[in-house]
Amino acid sequence: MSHVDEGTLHALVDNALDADERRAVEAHLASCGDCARRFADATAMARQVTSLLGALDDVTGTASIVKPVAKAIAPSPNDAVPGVTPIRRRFFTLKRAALAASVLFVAGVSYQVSNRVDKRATATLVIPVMAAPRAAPMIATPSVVDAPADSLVVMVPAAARQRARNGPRNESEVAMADRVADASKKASSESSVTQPAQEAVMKPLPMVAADVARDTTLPRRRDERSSQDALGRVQGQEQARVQQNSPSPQSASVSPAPSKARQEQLRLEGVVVTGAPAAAPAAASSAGVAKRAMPKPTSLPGYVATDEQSLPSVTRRTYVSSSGTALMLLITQPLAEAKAPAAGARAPEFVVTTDSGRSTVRWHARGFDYELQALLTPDSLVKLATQIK
Amino acid sequence: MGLDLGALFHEYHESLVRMLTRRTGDRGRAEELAQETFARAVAAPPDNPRPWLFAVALNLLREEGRNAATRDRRLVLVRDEDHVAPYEQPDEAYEREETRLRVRAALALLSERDRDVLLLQAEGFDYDEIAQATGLSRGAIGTTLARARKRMLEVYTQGEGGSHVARG
Repeated sequence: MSHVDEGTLHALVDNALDADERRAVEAHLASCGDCARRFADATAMARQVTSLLGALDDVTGTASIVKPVAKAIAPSPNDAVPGVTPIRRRFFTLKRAALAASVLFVAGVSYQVSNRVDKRATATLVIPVMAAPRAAPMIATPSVVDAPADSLVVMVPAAARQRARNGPRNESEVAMADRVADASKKASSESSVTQPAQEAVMKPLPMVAADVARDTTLPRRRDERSSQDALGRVQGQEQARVQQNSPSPQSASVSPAPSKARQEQLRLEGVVVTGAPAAAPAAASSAGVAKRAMPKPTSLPGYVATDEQSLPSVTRRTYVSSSGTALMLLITQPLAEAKAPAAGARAPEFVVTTDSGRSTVRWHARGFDYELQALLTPDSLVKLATQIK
Repeated sequence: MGLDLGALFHEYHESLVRMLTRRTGDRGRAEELAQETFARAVAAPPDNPRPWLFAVALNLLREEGRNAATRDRRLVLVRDEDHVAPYEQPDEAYEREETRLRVRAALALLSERDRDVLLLQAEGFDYDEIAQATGLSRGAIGTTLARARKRMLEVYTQGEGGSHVARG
């Protein structure tokens, strides 16, 4: 078979070839690295265009979320100890909070949240995050803060808070939130110099504070037709934005990992929690291409990895074993990242096509979409994917 | 051959409005066009509703006139500039809006056929349905999509580069 034309490759991507044609094309791809690479590019293109088009959909109810964050920055008498939330200290020991929270998390965070939302239209949810110096932040045990429903507790390093206070008061709250984010970033990068051991003694947990707001004017409807649809709607109804403070000062000096800047999204039973760590606002808020370093190759025992830039935001990583088995890993930086609903598809996703032995595994990690393809059984591919992950 | 308009509406309205919103950038207009489309479905019940509905909607859009199309395009470009210049540290809502405008601008630069095919595919149409809705031959869909996707990404990426230069 001669090389496959673009149209046929895209038809294969879209699953629009009949069985015979498909087998013939896939057989060719198995033996022709050139076409296999073009197929991988076509796959990446199709996904990127889909995500771009998704950016055109109505996204409502986002602007109001920034407000409470700015409010939380206003100095309060309880503010004396940097990095620790006094309200929380008064009512909860960390241990008890964690215990209670783990129950809450499983049993009904969303219930709690929506209850509060019903009452006041905004509510507060604070989620402690495990300090994980090298890895992306992990959500450990969320707890609902015992605070007035219209207040929001955000833990910001002292330097950031200071700077926020010194800022002009008449600025818009949006700009203030930006400022704080910027300040947090500064604080964390300077922390090894400017933050003495005093703070380390306090061992503040990095916190995620989420503000949950629901647009009550929209009808509540359930529809399982597609995750995109569902997300779009959920977005309109209930939305939560997480502002995460900078990594705790002591860990920041170890690694202010830029990959943390990606949007985090958690789905808690119907409540969408989105947000970008405030520590690195520039990277989080720009949806641009090639602003983030591609992840380093994960070494896979017995395989040699090579990287190629196939599109500005796509890296094609090929793993070849000594026996000639080739794995192709597409690493795509989503172009329309700023659009929150796209993040809904970020749960680990395994799509396996086995028609003629070609399997595909997809997942999302640290702000990138990964797609691993090879002529292997789904089982072996999933194993390899786990190693790569 | 009875037509259950309720079922038809339930099944396709949302997708149709989304496609039209993406296509026009105007939710209100999209709703109106969808309304009119369903009205026509009542008048002449289609055999194959989904491609039919989308084909009618796209035709209505064309009927609405080239005037509106050029007006939109001009608006997009002007608004785009407005948005890019004055801010240094955009918040996320702004970024999202900027992405949206850039995608719209990129989409506006595609040929009508490419644009329609992309939007229909994004609504989950298979190649047969795209062919029915657009009048293209089924065999041409893959090639059209290949070209449209490539062009879309090219234009979008260029636009992005340009705006960064403009922002300094």
